[in-house]
Amino acid sequence: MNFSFLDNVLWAAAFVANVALLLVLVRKERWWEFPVFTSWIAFQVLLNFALFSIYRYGSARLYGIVYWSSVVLDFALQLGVVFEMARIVLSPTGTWLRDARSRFLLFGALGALLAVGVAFVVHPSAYDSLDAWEIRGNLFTSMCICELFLAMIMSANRLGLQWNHHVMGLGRGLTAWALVSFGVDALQSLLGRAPVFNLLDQARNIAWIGAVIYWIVIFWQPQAERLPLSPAMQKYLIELHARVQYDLDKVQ
Amino acid sequence: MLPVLLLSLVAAVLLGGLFYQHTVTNRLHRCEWNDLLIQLQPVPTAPVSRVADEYLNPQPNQLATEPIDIWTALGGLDGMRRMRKNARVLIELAAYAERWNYTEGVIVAERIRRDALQLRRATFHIALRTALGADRLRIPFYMHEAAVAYPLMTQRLLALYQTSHIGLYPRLAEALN
Repeated sequence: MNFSFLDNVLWAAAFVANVALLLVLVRKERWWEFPVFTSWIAFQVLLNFALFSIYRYGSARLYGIVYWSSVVLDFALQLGVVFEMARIVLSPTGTWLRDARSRFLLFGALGALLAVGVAFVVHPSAYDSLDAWEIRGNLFTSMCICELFLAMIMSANRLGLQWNHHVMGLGRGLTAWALVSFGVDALQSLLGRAPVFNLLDQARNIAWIGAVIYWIVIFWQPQAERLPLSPAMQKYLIELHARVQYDLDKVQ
Repeated sequence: MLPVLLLSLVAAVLLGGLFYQHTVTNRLHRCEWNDLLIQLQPVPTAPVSRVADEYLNPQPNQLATEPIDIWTALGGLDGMRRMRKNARVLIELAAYAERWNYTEGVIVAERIRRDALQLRRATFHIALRTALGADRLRIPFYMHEAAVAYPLMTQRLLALYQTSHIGLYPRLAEALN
């Protein structure tokens, strides 16, 4: 395990950004609305801390155990975040809208099947089979998140559902990061353990830090009030009211 | 070669799909009431309501109106398309009312959404059967379903605005009639 200076800088930056986001989520009480997302960020903070400590003071075996155990939990939490957004957007009355859940789950399942198929077709050139499965697993994860997110946004738009400011911000950040992640995993699957492998990983980390900074800004701001009507419409209604008053006065 | 093609295809679909859907979401988010209103397309309200009324209030000799008369009353395939497009706008107008009357707006928007699903399903079957020229016997049943769903949606929306925003009601009623 040899990490370059840039790797260490990105690691530290990601840790600081994750902690800052977690503080914002707790301080502004956003965790109440987004418990799974908050748990995911808390998990990232703990994971960063644990992996860095083990890298410095622990053994390579322990590092491997913690790293591999975290992969499954990380994927489960990512799925949880997408489902959390779906719950907020697709159930505005508290219960899931008719057709929305079934459609979302159907397209999500189809997307997951497609992701499995693509991950199997790809044959990354890796050191050993475990290494190849890691690359395939990463590709499956990022593709699955992108497809599930697409299924959710399609269901919401088809039903004319509107997103609130925070969900929209979360969605934008997650989409950007998931797409970069998918691009990185796709290239790593095709190129295998080429010299650019680490460079691609660094690009993914930079995208993550960018997304976290964006979320800090979004969740720091209050939920944007949507004005009932535009100033032009309000002016029209005031004029209409004045005209009705005038006509009434004349009639009387 | 296959993995490269497959990954490129998936990447193109994901990128294109997400970009398009984000554009639609942003448009929905920023849309103004006037912008929605001008998207409504003219639909022959009276004939459609007459067909719906005949269907919902059966009288003796229920087969008096021929399918071709119903088809004409609904404005043919073009009329179906207009109703289908309007259905989306009606949902958005109901969702817009959530800004000043959240509880009622949410419930009415959901009811309109359910009617819209029935309308979409009916118009889809009609378009499919018309294009394929197959199983045309079922078309009149779908025409009735579409004819019932559309006036119901407009009435629900008008009632929502009548109780919650009387200032906008006249313009909405004018656009829908």
